[in-house]
Amino acid sequence: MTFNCRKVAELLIDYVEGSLSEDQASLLQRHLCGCVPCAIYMQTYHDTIVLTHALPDEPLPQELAARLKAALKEAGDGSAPPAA
Amino acid sequence: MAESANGVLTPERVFHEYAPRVYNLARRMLGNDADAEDVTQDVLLQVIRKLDTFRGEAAFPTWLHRVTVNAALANRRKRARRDEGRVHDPLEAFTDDGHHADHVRPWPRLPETLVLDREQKQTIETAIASLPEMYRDVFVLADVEQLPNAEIGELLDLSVPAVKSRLHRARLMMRDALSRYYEERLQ
Repeated sequence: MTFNCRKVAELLIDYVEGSLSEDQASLLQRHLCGCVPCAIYMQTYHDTIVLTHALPDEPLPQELAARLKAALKEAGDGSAPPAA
Repeated sequence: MAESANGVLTPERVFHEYAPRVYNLARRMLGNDADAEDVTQDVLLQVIRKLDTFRGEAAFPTWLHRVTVNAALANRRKRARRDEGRVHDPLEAFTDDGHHADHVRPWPRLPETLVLDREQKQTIETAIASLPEMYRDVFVLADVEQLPNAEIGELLDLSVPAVKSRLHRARLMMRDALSRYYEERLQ
């Protein structure tokens, strides 16, 4: 039994999670060894995950921060409003 | 008063430590800054009002995710905006006999310590915003927020296989979208 490129693409999520069976992982690796496009496809799929993990959170826009502080102060629970 | 792992959760701590997380999750799910700002305010006020009764302690971030996801989904329902047209499926980019239909080009090798520049961040954010909503929700929660699939399933009322299926397609769509940018950087 062999995998074609489409089958490899379908299984990438399980491959990067390490949840493929031994047989499936072996078939997939065998395909990757002989197929440059799939090796690149797998690497760039993995890079997509790495790049997204590296995405930092943006700071609150100043106007929103000011609006939130005012709203929290108005909601008032006896606590001091957030400092700047 | 509720506590987190680091101590008492005051409105001030919630504002400083959690407001940016709420805002960024809402912004990426909704793909719209103005809607994300409304959702952030709604969520923060909900959280502050319930702070005295919350006893979840270490579970606070989980609860905050739930409140934020629910508020974002409610905001989207209010807008009643839906994806139009047929969704491109990257798994259809193969020939009938299962080979790649298009040339697959490499990207530059990623550095060990990855710090995204402004252009890269914008490219990734734009690609996320362009995902169809059903895929974007799962992708943001899985690959940006890094929540486990089971928790995403609970948040979105999906089975784990459905979460994985959507996540995989979202990643393939993201890979396609980012390819246009990263292939050019190699040339």
